[in-house]
Amino acid sequence: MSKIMDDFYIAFTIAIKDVGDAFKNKATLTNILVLVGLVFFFYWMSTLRPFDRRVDVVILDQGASDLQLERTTLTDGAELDFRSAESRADLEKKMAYRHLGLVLPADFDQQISAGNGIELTGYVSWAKRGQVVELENQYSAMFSELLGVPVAVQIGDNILLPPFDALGMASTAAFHVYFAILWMALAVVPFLIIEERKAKTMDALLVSPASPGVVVLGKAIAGLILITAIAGISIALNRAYIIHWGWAFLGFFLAASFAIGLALLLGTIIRSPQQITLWMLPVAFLFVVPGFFADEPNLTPAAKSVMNWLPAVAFNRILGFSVSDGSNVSVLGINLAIAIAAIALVYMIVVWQIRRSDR
Amino acid sequence: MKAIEVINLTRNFNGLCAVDGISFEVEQGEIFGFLGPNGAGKTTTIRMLTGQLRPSSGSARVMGCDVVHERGSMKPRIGVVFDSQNLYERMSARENLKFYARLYRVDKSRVEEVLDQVGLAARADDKLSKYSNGMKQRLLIGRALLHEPRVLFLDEPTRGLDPNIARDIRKIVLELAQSGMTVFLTTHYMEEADQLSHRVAIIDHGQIAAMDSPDELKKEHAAGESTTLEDVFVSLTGRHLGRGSESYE
Repeated sequence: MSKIMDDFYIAFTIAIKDVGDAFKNKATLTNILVLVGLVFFFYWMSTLRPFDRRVDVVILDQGASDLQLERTTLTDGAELDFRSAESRADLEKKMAYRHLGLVLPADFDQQISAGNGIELTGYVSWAKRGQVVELENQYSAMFSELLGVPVAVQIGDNILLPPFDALGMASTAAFHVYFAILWMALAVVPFLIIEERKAKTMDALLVSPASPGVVVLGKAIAGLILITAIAGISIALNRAYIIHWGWAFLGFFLAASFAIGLALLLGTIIRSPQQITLWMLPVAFLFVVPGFFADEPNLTPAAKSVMNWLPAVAFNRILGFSVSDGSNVSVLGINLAIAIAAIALVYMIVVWQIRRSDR
Repeated sequence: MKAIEVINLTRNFNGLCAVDGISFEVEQGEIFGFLGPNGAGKTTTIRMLTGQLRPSSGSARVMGCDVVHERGSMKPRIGVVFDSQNLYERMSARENLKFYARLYRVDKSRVEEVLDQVGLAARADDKLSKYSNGMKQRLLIGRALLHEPRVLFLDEPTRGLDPNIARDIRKIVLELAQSGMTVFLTTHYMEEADQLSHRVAIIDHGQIAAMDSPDELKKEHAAGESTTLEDVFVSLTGRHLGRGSESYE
């Protein structure tokens, strides 16, 4: 068997031991369970929350009708909340955070007064693309009760895809996956190295056929297995938002590679679990938060131009591309380059640290 | 081919010389005792000879392999029992050995042989948290023997152990040497080195103060009829070995 195959075999052996051991280690298991809880918590607390009975509606009123856009509670307890849009473009923009876009025709008031049924054109976000018929029935019933006449909400092919740099549900879904990846890496992977050092089992590994590089590769594979499990939960929760699965997997792989490299670096530099816990928050702040705020419209141009070069932003944008309409590929290219450069840099530092381990 | 060849081996740590130009050779099948007080340079020497630490200067070969440039070829030929009980505590003895068996590509049946050899077969599936220090020490020796190395490095293998357990460990070491394995043993127990070693080197302040068979050393430094290795050590270094509350039997 070639040297490379031998090294991979040893790395997988170490990884399998580490994954098995992680579930026997109460501290690691607690970290994993807390993270699983956080992933579900943020999913339900964010704009992605699926349990909400409130329907946020953006109204494009083409005839300045008398309809009062006030929050209304229906007999079954469901709520309708309204925002108005100035134009179709404005409606699309506001739909980043809303459930339903509705166009009121110019003769809306007359049709309602006539007491006959009315047909309204509806728009839903791409995440609901698989539920169009069900939503047409649901929204028709809600607006029939609200307006007191039979209403047919026609959605058809009016599915709104978010642009590449859209805020709202698209960016939240991408951030949710990135958050799960980075936190899982930081909360588990450094401890795989620190524990071996603390128990001095690292010495025994290093006199075995495992070289320092192979030991680190084993830790990285163990980290990837654990991250895949938790990011898998996040991706499964957000599956409705994902349009381009290939980009989602590429974004996951790149973000996971970077996060594992960063965690390995912490594990090789920092010597105690207490110090890791102290460092985790600032590191996470530096490598998570910018991803969430990079496309905020209120940022100054200077802050925006700095943000554009941060790895966290790049990974979020690549993941964000998978939930977007697929336009603006040139911006994606720059982000891919930043992501690959960041991964290369972090692993170069890790390898440099490992090579110094016998000095 | 010598089992171990060391030439002018030196290791500095931030300007402090832990091992200072030592040279020696160990024959195949020999038990070589490496004696010295804490901080004398014993563990640093073992770490260099087992490829864990790069020498500052000098060279060393173990079973013909350079310890810096041929570490990969050397590793399957050596077994190491560390001065700490560095085992996976959440795993059983059998799981610990199976993990290392996979790393060394050793057949699983060898795990059972080793468990028998070190007397742990009956408790092989217990978690290590239920093991005594003596049982853990046996497991450490078992782990080092798993891949049938040619040279076994033992760093203070009986330190802190109950006298009966220590005697069992020494018996295992003697059996290994009888089977042709080379043993490099560090210890602060002079009687242990006297009893087990074919030759001993006394190291102090990173330098070898004397090296010969225990009997020859005692003859050379005889202070009376009942001269011990400890007396030899005192006459060479001007001080006693610090043993703390540990005892040798």
